[in-house]
Amino acid sequence: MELKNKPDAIVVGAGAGGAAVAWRLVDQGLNVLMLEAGERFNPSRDYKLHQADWERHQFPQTQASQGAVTVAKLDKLAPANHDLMSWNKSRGTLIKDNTRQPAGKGYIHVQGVGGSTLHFVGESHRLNPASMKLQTQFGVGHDWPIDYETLEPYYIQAEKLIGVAGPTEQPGRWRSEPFPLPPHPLSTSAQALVKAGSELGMHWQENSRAALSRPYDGRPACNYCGNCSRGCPIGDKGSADVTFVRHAEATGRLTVKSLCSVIDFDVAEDGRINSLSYVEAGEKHHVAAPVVVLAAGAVQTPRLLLSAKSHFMPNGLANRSGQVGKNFMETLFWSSTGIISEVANTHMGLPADAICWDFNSPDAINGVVGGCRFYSSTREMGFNGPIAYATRSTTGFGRQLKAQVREQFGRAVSVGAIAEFLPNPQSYIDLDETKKDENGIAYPRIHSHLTEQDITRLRFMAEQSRALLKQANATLVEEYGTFDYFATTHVFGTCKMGDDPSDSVVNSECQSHDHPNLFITDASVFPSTGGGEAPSLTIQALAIRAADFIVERFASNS
Amino acid sequence: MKLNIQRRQLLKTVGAFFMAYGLDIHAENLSLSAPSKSETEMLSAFVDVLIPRDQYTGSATDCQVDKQIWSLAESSENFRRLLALGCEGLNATDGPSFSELSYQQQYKLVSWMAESDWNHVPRRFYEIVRQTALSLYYAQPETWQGLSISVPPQPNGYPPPWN
Ligand SMILES: Cc1cc2nc3c(=O)[nH]c(=O)nc-3n(C[C@H](O)[C@H](O)[C@H](O)COP(=O)(O)OP(=O)(O)OC[C@H]3O[C@@H](n4cnc5c(N)ncnc54)[C@H](O)[C@@H]3O)c2cc1C
Ligand code: SF4
Repeated sequence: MELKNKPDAIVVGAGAGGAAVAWRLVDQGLNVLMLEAGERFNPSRDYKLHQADWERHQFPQTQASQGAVTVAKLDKLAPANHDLMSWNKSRGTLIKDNTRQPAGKGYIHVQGVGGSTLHFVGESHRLNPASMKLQTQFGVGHDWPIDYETLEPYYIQAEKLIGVAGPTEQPGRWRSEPFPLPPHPLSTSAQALVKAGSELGMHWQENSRAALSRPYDGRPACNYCGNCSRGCPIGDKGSADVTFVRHAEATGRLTVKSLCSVIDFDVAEDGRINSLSYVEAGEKHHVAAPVVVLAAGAVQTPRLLLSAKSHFMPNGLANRSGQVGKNFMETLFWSSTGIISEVANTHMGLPADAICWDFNSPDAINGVVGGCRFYSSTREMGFNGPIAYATRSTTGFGRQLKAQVREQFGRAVSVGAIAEFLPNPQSYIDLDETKKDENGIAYPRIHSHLTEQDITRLRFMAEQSRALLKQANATLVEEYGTFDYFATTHVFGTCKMGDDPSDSVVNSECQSHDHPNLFITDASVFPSTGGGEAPSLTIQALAIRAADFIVERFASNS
Repeated sequence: MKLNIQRRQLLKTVGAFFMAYGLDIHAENLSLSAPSKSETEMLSAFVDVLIPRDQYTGSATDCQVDKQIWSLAESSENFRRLLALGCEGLNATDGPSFSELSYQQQYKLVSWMAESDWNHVPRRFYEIVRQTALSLYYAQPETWQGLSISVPPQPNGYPPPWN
């Protein structure tokens, strides 16, 4: 594909952060070249929800859709914490030895135009302002160099572009304008949780969702098929391809080159990035622009920076602080599922439709800093079709197994929970020099460790989930969590932002402290995770803000 | 042969079982070729004990689950070996082969396998074939009789109300 215009900026990665920064840049008149390692999926062809055997297909995996990654040896599982082991009724305890294991690659993601948002469920959250100053207020983790007030106008812009549907109010997060769309109706499984929750004094409400409750911006309303993470074939889910990328391409100023992996950077003596190299169909190319934005996600971005080491930059690119790859923060997740005989049709409706923010503040859980939130997770956990019931919530075989599937189908109710993850020195990303990709670049290696505080949060989530399901009259059939599985859908922190160049990689505008024309606009810049909030909206708000800064400082010069 | 995605995903599940439990199924002298007549009979009988016909829906073999399992085995040596070992095990008793036993006897034997040691072939064969057979069986809409689902989730979705 020939470039129509010389790019003013190159964006690496077309996920949540790359798409949002590109949209804002072209919206303000810049020409942008976007290089994306994965392919462009075609929802109506590639997503299989209309096929008879739909339940056997997860989000499509192709050769290019998965990034290279390895996971270092994980923690031993202390017997004292066996109440946190994953299990289900069909198979018993899922991990049979005493070591934590990665679920698949461990880092659950997608490479493609839209990045991991293609596979995401589409919860759309603003960070709890109280979670942004953990160091100042609680003496743990890191502070954000900006506050909620600064981000609020950018949240509004992102929500409008996506068409977020949500309730009038959410605890702890003021809004200058209502959500663009009204909330979605609650599924039967969510209603069961709301009812049981209110009996226990919990406050549940509609979740804010990147899924359309009405037709919006040329996209149809959700038809409640319940399978967002398998890829939304109708395009109402607000993944980055049908929102930011679509709008950016419509301007004629964005060129997206898929199946192009960026591998290296050429740095001038004054620290500016002169050009970068990428590989397309096995051939190496160089391209230059006044501004380079990295948005390859919190695993691949540090990998690119660390592998770009040279005589002048022995720690890699943008790494004078030594913080690239440090502070890796992951998803701390729990889910309990029960069968409730009085409930039906729980496979119908929007996933993650209800939420409880009661424990979201950093001081909400006794004995530990860092909160969590609970949500309705039946369809996200895959109780969408008969295969899930037959292979996870039933026992034995024969006619009685088939009878169990008929009895249980549509009656699974799951409660999920995600918590704050604080950085610790044993959780980081480095290069695995023993494994190199076809371009000779070492794989990124994830080191993950759970601290006692993480275990405390996990136990709180497990116990509260069990209490809730008990109140709802459920019989537990499955529990799954990140105590024994390393399974991270949210990754953060590996190029954290901060005011102090000796302790952070980028400043509050997402600009590298070391290289003035290098920006990072993915989840790696987060100094903290929040109390379990879904990150994409915050990534996008930060990216839009960074684009405004780029336009102000750089576009006028060029 | 180029694997399609669903086949690859199922084989990954099978692979994960082996990885997770470290079962050594590399036995000598096992045929990796097309299944023998006795193997096909054995597996067909076995999956029909797992998923028999009832008043609503057909059995595993009615839905060609046995054939689909063999076709999966064409692309996975590990899976093929496990099937060979499992079928050999089912035949190893003195007297009639598994497929010639009465349904009650077959049921008893499969019950024993379901309770046997995780680290040995009978249990692993039971678990993997159960998981695979159920996934293949319930991927067919004719098996959804009696469930509150009759067509795939798209293109119609599930418009409310749901109560
Ligand atoms: C199953 C699942 C459910 C989720 N649910 C939610 C949810 O409900 N709400 C929410 O907010 N978040 C959710 N997330 C998380 C969310 O998808 C991610 O946090 C978000 O997409 C991260 O954005 P990013 O820009 O940092 O990275 P990504 O979106 O992962 O994008 C990075 C992009 O960079 C590309 N890239 C990498 N290396 C290179 C290279 N060398 N050259 C060129 N391109 C490269 C990748 O191919 C990829 O497309 C979920 C994630 C998963 C997997
Ligand atoms: S539930 Fe709605 S948003 Fe999710 S995949 Fe189905 S139609 Fe798309």
